[in-house]
Amino acid sequence: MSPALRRCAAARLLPLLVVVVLGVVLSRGAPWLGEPLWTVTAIAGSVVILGPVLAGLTAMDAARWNADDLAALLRSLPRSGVARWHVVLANAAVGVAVLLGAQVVGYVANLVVGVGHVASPVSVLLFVGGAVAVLVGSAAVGGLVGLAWGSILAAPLTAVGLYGLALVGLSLDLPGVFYVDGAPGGMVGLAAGVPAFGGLVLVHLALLVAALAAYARGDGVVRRRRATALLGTAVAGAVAVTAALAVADPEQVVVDDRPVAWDCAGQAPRVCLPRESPRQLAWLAARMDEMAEPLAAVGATVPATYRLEVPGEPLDPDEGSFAPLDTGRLTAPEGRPEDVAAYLSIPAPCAAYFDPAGPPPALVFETQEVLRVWLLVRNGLLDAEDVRDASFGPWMASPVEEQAAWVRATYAHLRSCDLDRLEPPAPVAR
Amino acid sequence: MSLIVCEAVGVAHRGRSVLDGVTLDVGPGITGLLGVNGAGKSTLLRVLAGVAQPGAGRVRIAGSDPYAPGARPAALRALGYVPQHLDAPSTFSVADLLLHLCCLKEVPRRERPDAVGRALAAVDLTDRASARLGTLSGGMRQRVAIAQALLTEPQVLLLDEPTTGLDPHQRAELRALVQRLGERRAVLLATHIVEDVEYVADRLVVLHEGRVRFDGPTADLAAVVDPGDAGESGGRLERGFLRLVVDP
Repeated sequence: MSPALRRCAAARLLPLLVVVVLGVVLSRGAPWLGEPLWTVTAIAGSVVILGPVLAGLTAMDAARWNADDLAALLRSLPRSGVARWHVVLANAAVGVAVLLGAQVVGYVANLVVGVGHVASPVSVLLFVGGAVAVLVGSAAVGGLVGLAWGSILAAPLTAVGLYGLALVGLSLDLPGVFYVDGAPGGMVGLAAGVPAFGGLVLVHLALLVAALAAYARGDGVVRRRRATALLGTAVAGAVAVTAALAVADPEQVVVDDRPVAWDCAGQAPRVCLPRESPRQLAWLAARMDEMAEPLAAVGATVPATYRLEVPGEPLDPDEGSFAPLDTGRLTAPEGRPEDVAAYLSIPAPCAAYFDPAGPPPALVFETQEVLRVWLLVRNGLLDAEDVRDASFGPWMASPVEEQAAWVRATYAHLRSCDLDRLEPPAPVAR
Repeated sequence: MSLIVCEAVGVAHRGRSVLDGVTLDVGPGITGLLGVNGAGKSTLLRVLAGVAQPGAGRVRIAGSDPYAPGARPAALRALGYVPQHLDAPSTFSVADLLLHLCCLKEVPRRERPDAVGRALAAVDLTDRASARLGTLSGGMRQRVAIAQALLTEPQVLLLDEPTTGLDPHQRAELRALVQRLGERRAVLLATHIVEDVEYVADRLVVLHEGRVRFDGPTADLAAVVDPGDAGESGGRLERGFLRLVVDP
């Protein structure tokens, strides 16, 4: 390993960088574990903090190599034009190594929990490449600030400034230049936006060229005009691409229009999860089968297949579909029976649920809620006494023979999306 | 044989002349460049080292112009420059700094460990190769600064105030080292301390306000005072120097 790499600020403070990545990635638990692309974006997203830290460390190194006599010595060397490139390149390399190491650890962790399928390798390359670009660009910014300022104070101010820039971009919904976005609830059915990441890589490449040209201009005694021209071109390029991103405003995360690969399990119903996020499949299939038994017992016909709702994937009206509301519900090895009851109480993806004009009548949701509670009660997960104060409390406490007709009819209406025909359970005398 | 050639070199900074028509021709051996602070010594050394392009005149190092793009590499390979302070990051070890500079001096990768070993041996620092720069004394740091200049075994060595901040013992050691180095190359030693050059330099150049006020054998500077002055030679040399620069 070269001395410049071994002795750069980022290498000496390697544990700090590792702690930063771990802290950001694990700050909200590990809901992404069980879905490789989500893991990739969660780790790539750590550049929002790692980038500014790396920029600060690079600025610190830049300031240390700025002493007048040392700079004079470097200018007297045959390779003077590249004499301080290591300030940017070595720190960037260490930051990138930390990020890539974290990505490897993330992928191995997914393999350990039994998930290795990546639906979109191109997206992995774009997210990781974008994060690498942000780190390289951050080091370049640190190098530029440290070169221009030459004070050790450049380190904290660069770090804070760059982080502030990322925050401003995030809060104003500006195009992401110093951060890499992901989807908070998982990446199934989503992919990386090529224009957004293409622009991001170009911006940071231009920043790197600008930083190296600035150092070549400062340390190279001859051919400075060429370095000055390159510096100007690179800065103009970075500004132009950033402006283009601001105007076009491309999304970093887009809907993946390719068909989803599915893994299915169970019989009644058959449950299907995307191959890239199948961690809960065995538990969910068994639980759906078990909790659907009371429905079958009263003569309701449960859909043959339940399938996860995936962005961009057309829904089959003959199939049940489900969409966990909370982050990480499907990547845990086991889910919650309450969720399974909710999935079973919505047996078809009716168009009315997705109508942009507005949600369906409240009665639809109330009916689904009665059905959900009924499933919990019939599966012994809830006591009817616990809901006796609800409007449907007395009905819930009535004999199952009296409930069967309503359940059967309601389930049929929900399956066929005849939502107008839904009725609340008939009042029961207390 | 001329290893350092300086023809009518002029440098101005913010409208003020720092060097004015400096002409030198230096061959193998040790040449002292004497001058008070601000005389232009460091600027001249930087011009010779290819660091600061002069506004007027020409420079040749071992026959090559350090400011001509085509000839610059040859000129820089032929010289070793030791600035007044080696302010390299204190976290670098001695060997790591030298290895890094080997890279910038275009020493082939396989030859770098040997080059570092030779340079450290030349300045008696072999046993401190792994020491951090921040832990070294001022004298040792000066020796590291000289070691880096010797990595490519240059024909020309430019030393800028190498004894600044050293105690008398360290200064004596450094003078002995410079004497050894001058046996095989051209050494231009810039200093404001007459004692530093008195016994090691064969030739002295006195620079004052950017101009050469004296250029000749060391012994001749003493004669500037008074050819008939029979005082102790060191004192006479200093008096000669002072007469040139304080009471010209």
